[in-house]
Amino acid sequence: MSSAAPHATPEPWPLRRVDPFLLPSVTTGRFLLLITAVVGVSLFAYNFVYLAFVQGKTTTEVRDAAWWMIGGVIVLLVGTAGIYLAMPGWIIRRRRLARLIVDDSPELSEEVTRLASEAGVPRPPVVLVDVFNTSASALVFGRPRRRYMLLNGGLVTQFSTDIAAFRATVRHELAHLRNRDVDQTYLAIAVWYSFLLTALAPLAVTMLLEPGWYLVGMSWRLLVLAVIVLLFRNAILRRREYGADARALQLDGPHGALRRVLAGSAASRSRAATPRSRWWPFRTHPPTAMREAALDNPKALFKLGFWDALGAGLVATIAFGNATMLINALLAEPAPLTIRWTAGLFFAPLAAVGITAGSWRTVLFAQNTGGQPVGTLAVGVGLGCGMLLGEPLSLSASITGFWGVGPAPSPLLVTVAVLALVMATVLFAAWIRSSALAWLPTVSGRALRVVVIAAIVASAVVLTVVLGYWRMLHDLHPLIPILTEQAVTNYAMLSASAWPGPQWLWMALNHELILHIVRQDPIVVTVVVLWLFPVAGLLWRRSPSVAGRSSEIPKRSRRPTLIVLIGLAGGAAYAAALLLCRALVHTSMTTNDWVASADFLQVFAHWQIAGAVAAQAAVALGVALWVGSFRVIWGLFAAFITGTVATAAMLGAIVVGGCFDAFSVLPAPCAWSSDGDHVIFMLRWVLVMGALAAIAAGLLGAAMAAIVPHGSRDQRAFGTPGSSGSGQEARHFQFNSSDSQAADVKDPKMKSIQKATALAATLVIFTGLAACSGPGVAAPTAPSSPLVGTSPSTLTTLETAGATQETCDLFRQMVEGIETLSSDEQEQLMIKMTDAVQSSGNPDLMRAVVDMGRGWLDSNPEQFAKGMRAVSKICNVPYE
Amino acid sequence: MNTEQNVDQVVDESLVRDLAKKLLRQTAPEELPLLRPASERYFADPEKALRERREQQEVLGFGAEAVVALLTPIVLSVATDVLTEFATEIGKVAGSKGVSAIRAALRRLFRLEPASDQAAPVEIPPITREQLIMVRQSAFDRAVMLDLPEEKAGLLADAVVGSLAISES
Repeated sequence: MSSAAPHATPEPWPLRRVDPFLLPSVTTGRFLLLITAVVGVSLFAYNFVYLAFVQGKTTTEVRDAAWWMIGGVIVLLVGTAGIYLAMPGWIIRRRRLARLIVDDSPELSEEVTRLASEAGVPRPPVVLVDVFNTSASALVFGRPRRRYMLLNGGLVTQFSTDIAAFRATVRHELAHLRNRDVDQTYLAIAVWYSFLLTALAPLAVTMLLEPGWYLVGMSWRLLVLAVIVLLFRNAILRRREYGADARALQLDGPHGALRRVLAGSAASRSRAATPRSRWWPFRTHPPTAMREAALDNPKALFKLGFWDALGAGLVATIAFGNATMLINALLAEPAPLTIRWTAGLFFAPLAAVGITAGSWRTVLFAQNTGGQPVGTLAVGVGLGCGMLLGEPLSLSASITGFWGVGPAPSPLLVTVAVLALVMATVLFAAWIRSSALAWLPTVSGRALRVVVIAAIVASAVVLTVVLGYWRMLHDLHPLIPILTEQAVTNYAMLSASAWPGPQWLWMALNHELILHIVRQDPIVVTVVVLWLFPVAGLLWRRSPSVAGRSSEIPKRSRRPTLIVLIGLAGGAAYAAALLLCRALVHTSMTTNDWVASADFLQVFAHWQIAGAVAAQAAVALGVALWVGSFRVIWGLFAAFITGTVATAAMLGAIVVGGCFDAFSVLPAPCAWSSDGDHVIFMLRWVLVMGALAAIAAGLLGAAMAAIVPHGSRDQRAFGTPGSSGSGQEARHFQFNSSDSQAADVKDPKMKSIQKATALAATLVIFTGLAACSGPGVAAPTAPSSPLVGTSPSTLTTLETAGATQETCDLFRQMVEGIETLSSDEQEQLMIKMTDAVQSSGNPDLMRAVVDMGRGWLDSNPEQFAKGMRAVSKICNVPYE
Repeated sequence: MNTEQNVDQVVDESLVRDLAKKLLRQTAPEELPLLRPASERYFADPEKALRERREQQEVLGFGAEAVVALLTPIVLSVATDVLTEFATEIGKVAGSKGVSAIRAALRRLFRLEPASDQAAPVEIPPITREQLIMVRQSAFDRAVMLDLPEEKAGLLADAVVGSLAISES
């Protein structure tokens, strides 16, 4: 029995339930993103001016444009610094502010100093007064180490008439200092003014002096850009006001006057009547009714929604093309993805700060209030839509058009790409939330901040890869049909000698775009980060201080060990199946079937990869169905183990085949012969494709688990406090039980979202595969590249044309010497033709040559003659 | 001392600020911290100062502020007018006595702290009831003209007269 405690006044809501300042603010990243985007847009302006006035009039090189742009940015930044530093003096002069000296009111000066100390502002601001300003308001501004607090005349009088109201207002302003709002706000203002003066003005002059067809497109985009910057900045400022109110409320205490000040003013009352007026997005302060409501329930400080994510995506991509333009000019022969990932590093990490911090805050809020974390669908869709809209709204699009250089992509390709991007961003948002759910119950205090920073870094890596790859697909879309045709051609050629499986499977594993991803280091890092970061949180020992809501620290689960074992078992099963396949192939192979052997080995390698990917998907599906929480994350983890073992098995089987002939497919030594590059490539291929398959399988598992009624294990997760060791812990984990994609399976709405998301993911993946499958085997034609000059597609076209010519020349030699050439000489010509035709990119010619080869090897004159006639027709070489 | 220029020399910033301080203590003591900076602004450009009373919302401001009617600029204006009127009248009887003597007389009239370098004040006749009524009406009219509500304007005018009446007794 506890002794009677004195009745305590309940603490205000934020103090009692959740500290808004426990996690980093979302606005810092957004401010930096805004500034970076404005700087990025300026690159376009400087390049435009350069092209109009400098290039062609003097001897220039490509890099001159880069130096011109860099010089422009330096001017912009110097202008920004100048405006930023001059702004305090300008404000003081323009408003004719006077410094309030101690003699004017010793009590007031002392009170401001005391409140500053209480707010944790180490250096009290210099107090200025706007003596004839009748509003009871204040303002903070200034530079580091020289902050000013402006008190309006109306507020100074409140010091005597209503000290509580005076303190509430001053605490709000000091909270802006404590929350470090001043520098970011005035830097954002300074960079915008500097942009107008040093970039936009020269651009406007250039547009007027050199008017062109782009004038209309550029003009409306400039207007849209200005509106976007204004709306984005004001949205951040409104969020800052909530933060300042929350901090002020912490200092003001339950009996402070903040609520009364907000509610009592005439202005407040008039605005409260229309909390969402038509022009509220253009205001720098939220409607006072909403600010009052946020004092009781600071949900607004933990909110991350569609519009927040849309803004982040939009601002992250609106200047992306300009950054790639600069990097392209600076680097010598840069790889397409290198350019875009480098450009992505300017924008994606800053966007990731806002999205990650926002998502973690929503989870923290839900955990502390016993509510549900908001779904990630809106955030993911918003981010994806923002990334989609950024390029069309960018200034460079006024010259290059919506789709960049080259013809517009087909509607099917656009649809698939858009869906794939939005799906990727939805999954990204869900993954961030899963990571937060995994980590937040484990850490507190300083460790929590370290973990959040790690989360931001991890999500920055993932978003940079997504952004960079998306922009590569966007910018190089004319290549996609050509690369697809090449893959179709290869598929057709190999189909003649061995069955490579369905075309979509071949495309999924062997399309050049896929292989291009596999070759990149960042994608491999991403694949590991996707499971490593959340799993680390799940394995982290629960901190007693965090688990304070429970009476004891939860015991370590055996689940991770079992998942590792499942992953290993999946890999072992794959190894066994592989050895069996090799044995079967060995017994059925014709030793002198050299044509079949060359192609067959490629098909065999394809099936090995497909099998490893399938094994990972199966393991991920099984784990997703088995575990009650974090289904996709655990599935990815298990799949990674399976993939690693499977790759080792694939490479080890070559050694086994060398040592034991029964498992030999190709003669090899009984020793390790694979070089390092080959091993790394195989590992990447298996792990990257396996991760994609595991995500799809995990989603499928989550969807199936949502459809199937839950058993006793899940019901235990919904237990009341004490029923499963930790009531809050159990209640918390119910979010995770339905995993990262949606939310609580108990909630019918969230359950529907979960199903829809999972099914949509599956559909998109398979639709994408189908779309990439191209027009079918029988439709290959000579690629017609829309690009000219130095593009890879042109090189490819030239190469294929040369190979076709070589094949036809060899055929002509064979026809002309059909009566005179020896059998060995004819065989040599056949071999050369087979080699040459592989690079021709012409499936009809390949099929015809394969028919010839088959007929030759099988001593089948009909098939040989059929091939000869077909080659004769294609090469226009008469043959009887 | 008959010229307008000399009247301006008599009614200097220090004198007006001291009278305004006395009036503000009675009518709006909460505005006393504003007096020094307000008088600096006022004397730099009186007309502009009276026009500049305003409210506006700004970035990182509080954003939901109440509006307060500020008396200080009006008090400064009324004090200037009253002092000017009295300086003109005293100047008529000052003879050859200088600006400092007239200023000292005004300080004594309004029972303000004497200046450190103050000369011997001009002797002035007692103020009549009619004069008091005129001074009150003048102060009231000036305050109302500057958009001060009549109730507050009356209080301010009474404070002006009260200052004189006290000094007269």
